[in-house]
Amino acid sequence: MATITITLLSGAVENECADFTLRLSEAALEQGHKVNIFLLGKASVLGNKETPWPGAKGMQGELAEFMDSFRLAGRIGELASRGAAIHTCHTTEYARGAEGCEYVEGVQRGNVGVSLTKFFITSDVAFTIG
Amino acid sequence: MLFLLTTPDVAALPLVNTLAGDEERELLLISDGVYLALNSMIEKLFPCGFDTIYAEKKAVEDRGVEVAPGCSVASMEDIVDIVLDNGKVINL
Repeated sequence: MATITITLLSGAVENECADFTLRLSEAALEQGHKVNIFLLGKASVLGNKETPWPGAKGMQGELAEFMDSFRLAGRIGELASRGAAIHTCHTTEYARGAEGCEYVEGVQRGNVGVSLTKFFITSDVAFTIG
Repeated sequence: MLFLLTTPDVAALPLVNTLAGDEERELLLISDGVYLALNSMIEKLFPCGFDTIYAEKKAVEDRGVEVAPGCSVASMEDIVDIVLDNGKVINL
C-alpha cells in the first residue's frame, strides 16, 4: 500500500482538475492505497458544505443537470468516509471570507505548515494539480 | 518522472528537458491536454523525448479524440499505477 498526496488548486467549475483529482483518489482507494488531499486556494471551498439557494433555480433543466455535475461535496464526503484525509488551507479560506463555513463531514481545517507538511513526509508520491 | 499536462498549451514543454535531466520521462495528458494526442498535434511533444505518452481515457472519450500511434490511452486504474511507478510527478 502506498500513500498519494494531491494538492488541489482549482475549484469545481474552472477546469477538470478537481474532478480528475477525485476520480484518481477513488481509484487509488479502490486499489487499497492511502490518499491525502490538500485543498488550497480556489479549491479550499470544495471542503465546505453546500448552501443551496432556497428559491427558483433560474436555470432550465438541462443546464441545471449539467451544473449539478460540478457539485462535488457529495463525492468529497464519500472519499473522506472511505478513509481519504482531506484538509483545507485555512489561510486561503480566511482570505476568501469562508473560514467559518461548515465543512463536509470528514474534511478538516488545516494549514500548510502542519497538514501539508505532514502529508508530504508521509507520502510515497506527492504532486500539485490545478 | 511523470509530467502532467492539463491544457494543449505547449509553452511549458521546454522545461521538461531541464527538469528531467538524464531521468526517464513520461507524459500524462488530461483534460484538454488530450488534444495534443491528435495526429496533427503529437509532433509538438517529440522534442521532449518522452519515453511514454499517455492520454486519460475519460478525457479522450468525452472529446472524441482519436489518439495518434505512440500514445496510450490510460484508465484511472492505470494512472494510479503510472503515478506510483514514476514516484515524481510534475504538473506543467
